[in-house]
Amino acid sequence: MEFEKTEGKGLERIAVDMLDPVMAPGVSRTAVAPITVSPSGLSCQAELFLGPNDTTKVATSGKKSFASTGASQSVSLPVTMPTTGGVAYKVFLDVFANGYRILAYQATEDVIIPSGSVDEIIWE
Amino acid sequence: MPQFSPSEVKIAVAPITVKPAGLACSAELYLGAKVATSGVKSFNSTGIKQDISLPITMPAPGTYPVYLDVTAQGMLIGAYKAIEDVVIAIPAYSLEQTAIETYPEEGAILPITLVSGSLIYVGEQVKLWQYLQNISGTALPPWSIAMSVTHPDGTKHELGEVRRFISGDPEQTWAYIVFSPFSVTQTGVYTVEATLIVEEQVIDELSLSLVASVASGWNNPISYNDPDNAWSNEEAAMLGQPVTGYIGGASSKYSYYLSHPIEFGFPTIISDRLRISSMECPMDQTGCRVSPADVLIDVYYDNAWHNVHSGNLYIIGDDELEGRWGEVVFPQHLVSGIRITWDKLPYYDPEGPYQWAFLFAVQLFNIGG
Repeated sequence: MEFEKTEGKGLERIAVDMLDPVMAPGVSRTAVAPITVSPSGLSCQAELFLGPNDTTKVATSGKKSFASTGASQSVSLPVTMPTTGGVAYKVFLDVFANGYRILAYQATEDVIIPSGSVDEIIWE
Repeated sequence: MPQFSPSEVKIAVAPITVKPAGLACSAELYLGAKVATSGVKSFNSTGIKQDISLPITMPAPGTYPVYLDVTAQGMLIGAYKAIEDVVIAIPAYSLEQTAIETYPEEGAILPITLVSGSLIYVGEQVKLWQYLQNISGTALPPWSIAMSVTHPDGTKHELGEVRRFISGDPEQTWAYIVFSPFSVTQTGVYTVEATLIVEEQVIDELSLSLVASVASGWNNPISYNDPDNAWSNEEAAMLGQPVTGYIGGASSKYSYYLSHPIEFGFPTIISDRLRISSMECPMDQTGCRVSPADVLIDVYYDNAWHNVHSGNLYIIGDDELEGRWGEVVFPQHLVSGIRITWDKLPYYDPEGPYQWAFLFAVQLFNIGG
């Protein structure tokens, strides 16, 4: 899964591998995002969230704090998947430095929470 | 509760909805602890209801819960259990054992039950019996059993009904049909299929695999070639019975020579000997039994005939003792045929009592087996 930047002054584009974009409803998964913030020593936060758009957070990791190092850091972002299945959710990642949002990404692939139902079986 | 018969093939049509569209999905329907399963059937989700066909061959009689597993992208998204179980009822009529007719002693017939994988031997005539069971408590309505055998080369032959037995007492529960025999001429798997039809409905089916191999020891021919049409009753050789050589017609009244070869085919086997039984000889003018001179015997290997005997038949057998076998030994080869030529036959009178010049049977020994 790749992210493309939607807003901010950071890197033009950050590619992120996501091995399993299909998730079961309600399961907890941790997204590990390699994030680079320069210069080092800044108080940073990252938040990954799912939703139909970037203003509706159906599921979120909350803001996870870390200090910038000027190099790439793997930031763990645990998310409990939405319980409503049958939906492909967009994935967003916001990065803040000293309280200011400096990066806003959207994954190029959605997270899919499938749902299924079976009606009455007929024997032929 | 849905009720079916053992071995009955039914298709469960499950209306399945998986969202969102475009996912690689699968469904598997099974009974009990997967005693019967549709197998995993793949489909792509459309986001709307789809009828997924899930065929099941019904298992042995009993009551079984029905389960349905649905996956999307390899993930189990629904494990369902049907509200109603499936009941597999014991059928009123069913095919039971298949047996092969054997002859343990003179005048006796003994059917022996076969199972899949039972051995039969090249050169045999296989006569099958098919039993059925009737637990309806009433007399059998009109019924028949269709039986076929598919040979190793893929050819399929329907077997005719020779006779049938039906228990006269409705409380008795069985019957059988004896089918016309088929010749085992190839090594490999013979597949026997039987279908029970009662009142024009297919009630039960079974399939049985019989493995044909070459018997160790002595083997009868499986084919013959009589290019001059000079011999008769050759089919009997396949049963280990005598073949008769015959010189007929007035023009041959004083024939002294018979040089028409007869060839017998065998499964290709490693062999170093054959045997021949001279079972009857004609008499000469004085009423004494005579034997032909210069009997030529060839065996077929390395794509050619090779002579292994030439001379009087007395040296390989005593025709005064009817049915006595005499052996001819030769170097070991992969042999597939025996050719016999009575190169010279003594005088006999075709108008007299000894129309048959000679009777004999021939067999080839399988060292392997």
